[in-house]
Amino acid sequence: MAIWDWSVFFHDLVHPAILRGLWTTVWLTFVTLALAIVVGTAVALISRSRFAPAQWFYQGYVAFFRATPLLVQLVFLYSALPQMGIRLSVVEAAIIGLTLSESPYVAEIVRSAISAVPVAQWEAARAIGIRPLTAMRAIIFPQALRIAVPPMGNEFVRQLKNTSLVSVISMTELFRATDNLIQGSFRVLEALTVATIYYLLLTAAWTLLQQLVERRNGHWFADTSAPKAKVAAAKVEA
Amino acid sequence: MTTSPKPQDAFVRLDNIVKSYGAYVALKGVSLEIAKGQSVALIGPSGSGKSTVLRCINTLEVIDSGAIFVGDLRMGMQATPRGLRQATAVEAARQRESVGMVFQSFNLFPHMTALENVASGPRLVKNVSKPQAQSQAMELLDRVKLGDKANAYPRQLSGGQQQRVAIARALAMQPSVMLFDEPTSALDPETVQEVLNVIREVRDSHMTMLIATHEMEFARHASDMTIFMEAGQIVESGPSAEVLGSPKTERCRRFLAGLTGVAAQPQARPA
Ligand SMILES: Nc1ncnc2c1ncn2[C@@H]1O[C@H](COP(=O)(O)OP(=O)(O)OP(=O)(O)O)[C@@H](O)[C@H]1O
Ligand SMILES: [Mg+2]
Repeated sequence: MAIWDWSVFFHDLVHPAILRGLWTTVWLTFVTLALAIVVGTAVALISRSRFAPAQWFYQGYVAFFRATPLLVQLVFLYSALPQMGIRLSVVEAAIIGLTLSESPYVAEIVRSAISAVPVAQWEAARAIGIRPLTAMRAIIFPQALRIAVPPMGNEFVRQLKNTSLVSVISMTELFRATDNLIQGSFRVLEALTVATIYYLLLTAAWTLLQQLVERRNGHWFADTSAPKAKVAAAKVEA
Repeated sequence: MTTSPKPQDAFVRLDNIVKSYGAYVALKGVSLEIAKGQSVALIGPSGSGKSTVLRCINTLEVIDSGAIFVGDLRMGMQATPRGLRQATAVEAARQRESVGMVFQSFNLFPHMTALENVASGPRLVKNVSKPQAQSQAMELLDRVKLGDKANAYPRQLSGGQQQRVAIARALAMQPSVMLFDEPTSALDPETVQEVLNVIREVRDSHMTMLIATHEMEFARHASDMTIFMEAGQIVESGPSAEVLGSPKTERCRRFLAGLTGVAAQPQARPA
């Protein structure tokens, strides 16, 4: 057996099973990240409540999902819950696991983005008579969003890599599809190289897209910077 | 706390306001009255409590004791059948609708155009329809001579232009009193006058206003009354010509003398 067989490599590169796995990886990443953004934002908003139990919930939520490995969460959802009478399909367990495990990271991004909006913006809103919830929705949140978008882009890459873990509960995404191919051909090097190339391509494509969006809309992201107040004149008398 | 009726002529009234930040007492019993349509200047050294007075009036700060009246409103308090209680956040917001505030650093909403900034109050507070809010906002932008900048974002505007938009934004709520906190202190000297002209125009429309300022010429010519503060207390107050022309107290005299010493500086430029 040769060390490297190009024909195997090209065979694996366009193998229908690999392409199906690739597609699964892509949609699973997008869907679970989108869901994590919804859940994470909700959790971040809860954390802003002055109500003490809301604080405990937030701290506990973040600590729990950060402290437990995603692998364990997935196996728990898929294999341990049935013992409690809750039966999830592979896809359900994968979506729930990936969403919940990612949500605290989103929550932390949203939370720090909200507190990064200058207090003066709250005050300006209050001074006009804007109600607190409206101020959050119409004044603070749109500005926080602009701050949160760049770090959120990095979460995409993390989530992309995390999808490979759902292979353990037998969801056939890119990695498991690759593994299946290896079981038949015994050509590990070519197959894993193919998988690696696809992961790299997806990450590169995303990074490029993100750079493009940020460059095109650079002013949009820079928008939240405080007005360059020329305080010097006021301080002269001191 | 008393709810004694206000004297007929006082539209804004502060009764013995005490305000502290932690252990530091920033206002040590401040009382003042502003008649309807009167324009009052608030002067004094840095740290004397000018901003704190303004922020207390529209309840951005919660006072320790005393009472603040704006028209019929007892600011920060809500009347109930069983007496007064602290206003909730929503009740305080409703009270602030009638008190306009302009900040030293403008604080425009950066994600909104000039027009959207001005329309934001009517849109978000009074639920005025978009076309109506925008046509009103357009009128106000014309009034502050920025009709051509309606679609510009704050970052595309000079400091003076931003401050004029901020004034229009406050006016859009049709407040019964306007508070200005050193509205020109963050501006380039060249743009100070354009903002002062707008404020003068607001005064000429008989708006009741209180303006913390270092612009003594402006105070002299555009304010009916001037109040001099030092260390959290009102030291002297009266008609602007008197307080600024022939101050009665030594402290006010010294403060004004210090300013004329730096006559070349922006805040002492002739209006
Ligand atoms: N949030 C705060 N926490 C603690 N101390 C504060 C706070 N805000 C104001 N102070 C203090 O209260 C005092 C009065 O401040 P204030 O801002 O009202 O002064 P000012 O007259 O507006 O001064 P300036 O001319 O510099 O604007 C100052 O000593 C200031 O340090
Ligand atoms: Mg001040």
